Amino acid sequence: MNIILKIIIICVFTAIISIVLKNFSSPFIPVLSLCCGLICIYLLIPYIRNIIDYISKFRHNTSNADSVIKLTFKIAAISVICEFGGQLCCDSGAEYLASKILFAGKIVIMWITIPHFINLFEKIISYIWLL
Amino acid sequence: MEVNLIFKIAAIGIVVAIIHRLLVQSGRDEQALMVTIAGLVAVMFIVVNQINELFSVIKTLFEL
Repeated sequence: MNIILKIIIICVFTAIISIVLKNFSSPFIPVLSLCCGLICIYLLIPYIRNIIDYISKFRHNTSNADSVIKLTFKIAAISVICEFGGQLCCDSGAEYLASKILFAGKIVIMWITIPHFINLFEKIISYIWLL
Repeated sequence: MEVNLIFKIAAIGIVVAIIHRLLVQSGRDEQALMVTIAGLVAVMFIVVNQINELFSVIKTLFEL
């Protein structure tokens, strides 16, 4: 509960400061929102680490799902970075760049998952031939 | 990573904006522009280090 209060306070404070800077028509407003986003993610990192530790425990119990869970972590990391970058571009008023970043993220995720898709299809085909 | 960073950027922003206004009013537009760009570059140096740190933390966090 404390963490959400901290994040709300930081964001509201940043909003107030950016209103003050807007009066001066300063170019520092996007940088300020970037810093606010960075601080919010840094505050959330211990919680994300707890979730990942929990999933890693599950991974050690299962032997076969190791590569799949590793892939899931990779996709989650790419999604976090892409979402962060995309939102930053949106905040600075460049929605067209945000959509490009999200598109690139989707393509990279697809590129990472293609070998696993091929494995899956090969397995399905081998099972069909067994029948 | 601390909240001080926001205050630091806000302070730099306000100081740079005031200097910019003073220089514009005294008729030195080019110097005003240079001051703004210098302030922006200084702030970007701070922020780029933090972004680099964030990406390395995310890399270690997700075991990439």
